Amino acid sequence: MKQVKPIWFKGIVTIKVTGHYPERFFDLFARHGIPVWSIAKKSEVDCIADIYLSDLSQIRRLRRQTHYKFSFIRKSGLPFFYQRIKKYRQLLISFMIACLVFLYFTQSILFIDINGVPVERAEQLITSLDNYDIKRGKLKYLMDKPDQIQAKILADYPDILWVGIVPDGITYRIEVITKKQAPMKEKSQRIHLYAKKDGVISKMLVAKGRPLVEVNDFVKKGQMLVTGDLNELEQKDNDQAKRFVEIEAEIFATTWYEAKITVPLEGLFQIETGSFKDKYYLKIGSFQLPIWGFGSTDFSHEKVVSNQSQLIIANWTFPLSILTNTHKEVEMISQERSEEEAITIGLEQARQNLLRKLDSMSSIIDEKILHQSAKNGKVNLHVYFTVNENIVNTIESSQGD
Amino acid sequence: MRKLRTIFEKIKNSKANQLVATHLELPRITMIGDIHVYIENHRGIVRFTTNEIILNISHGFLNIKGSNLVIKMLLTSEILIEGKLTALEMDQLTTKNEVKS
Repeated sequence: MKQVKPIWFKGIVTIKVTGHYPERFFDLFARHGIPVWSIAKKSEVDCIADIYLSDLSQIRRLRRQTHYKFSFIRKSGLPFFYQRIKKYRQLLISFMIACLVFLYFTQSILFIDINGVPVERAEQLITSLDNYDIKRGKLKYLMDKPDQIQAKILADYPDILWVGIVPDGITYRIEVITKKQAPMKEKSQRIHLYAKKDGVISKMLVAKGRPLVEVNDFVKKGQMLVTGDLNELEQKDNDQAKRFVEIEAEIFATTWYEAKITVPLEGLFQIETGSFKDKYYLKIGSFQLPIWGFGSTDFSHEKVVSNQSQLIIANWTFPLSILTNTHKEVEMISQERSEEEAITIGLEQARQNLLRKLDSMSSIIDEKILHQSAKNGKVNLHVYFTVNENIVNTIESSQGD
Repeated sequence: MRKLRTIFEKIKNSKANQLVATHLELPRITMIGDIHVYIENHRGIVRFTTNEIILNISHGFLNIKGSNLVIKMLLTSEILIEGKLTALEMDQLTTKNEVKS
């Protein structure tokens, strides 16, 4: 059995043969070795059949010897398809160009986005990327792989710590992290150190400079502690300029503080019960128009928290604002304290107040109640604190010189 | 279909069949149910209508009856007919002259 399915590429013509006994005509084809298929009889004198386009000239020659007439009914196959397409050539060409342009734009780099460096640096990077053949409008396939580019950039710029390249669609995204140079330590120009407070030196740490005091010395406020002038002896000749060193030193001293505290024996607390009521007002200037939450609250004690929402456009504040007042119920609880409790609370308060004033290196080493009295339901305390703290004046100054 | 074809090839290549094909020139008729008939060694179409096809064969006519008959393929000695087949008749002719008509 031979190939039954017609070949589409060759071009197929459906012909109609008219005449008496049209089947004889097809029989003639068969005798001449012309393939014919799908022969169907439409009427007594009509017959349709499919033939190849290439056989058509031979069929015409055969027809001349007979009395049959034939006409074309349908044409299909590649040659006819090509002819039909020819009409739309301009449209097709423009469509293909559009596809190519679209492909080009999607497969190329249109933006180079550099993050993490200042503009001048980014410009510099772009010129070096140019040298690596990475330009705007270049196809991605024609460029090196991102990791190769990364290695190149890192080799060319020693001050870049890390560079990450992500070809993100049409954008070539480059993240740069430059090596952070440790900021130069600001050199303190202090050449003399002075005491900030009165005290007894407890510890001295002098890295640079010449100490003028010793541990256990009593110093007064403003007294020179360390000097940058290393020469002990006064030099007579002025032509040699005095050389000073910058001082690096920390001096700890014991200092004293007094504090007077009054603690009531009856403490009064406020405790929120949790129940609250919101009231909303429309505020125009100083006028408040209640818009929601009417009536007064039935709380015996209450705390009001106001929250004003305002519309601010640039520098201009919208004159209308919505004010929310949250009325929170509070319960007043009074507590009786004994005298000892009051003293403990008072001392703790005094300690906190003092430490808040001093720097973090300071510590209280001793405390002593000098005087204590209970009067009118209050305890009065007079406390004396001994503190160990840094007495070097940390404020930058060019005093002395 | 391919399997069928290989079977046909085997039959065709067997000695008895080669004898048939070369010397006796008898038609080989292959039918698939009543929808499809494939005839080798025919000698041309005598009559073709939608209900009847008469083929020339070596010693007479082959009369194929049915409805909606369509010649799916026509080659020099092969023909493939599709449609609803009802009958296949052989008309033996004695004189060779009449066969060639």
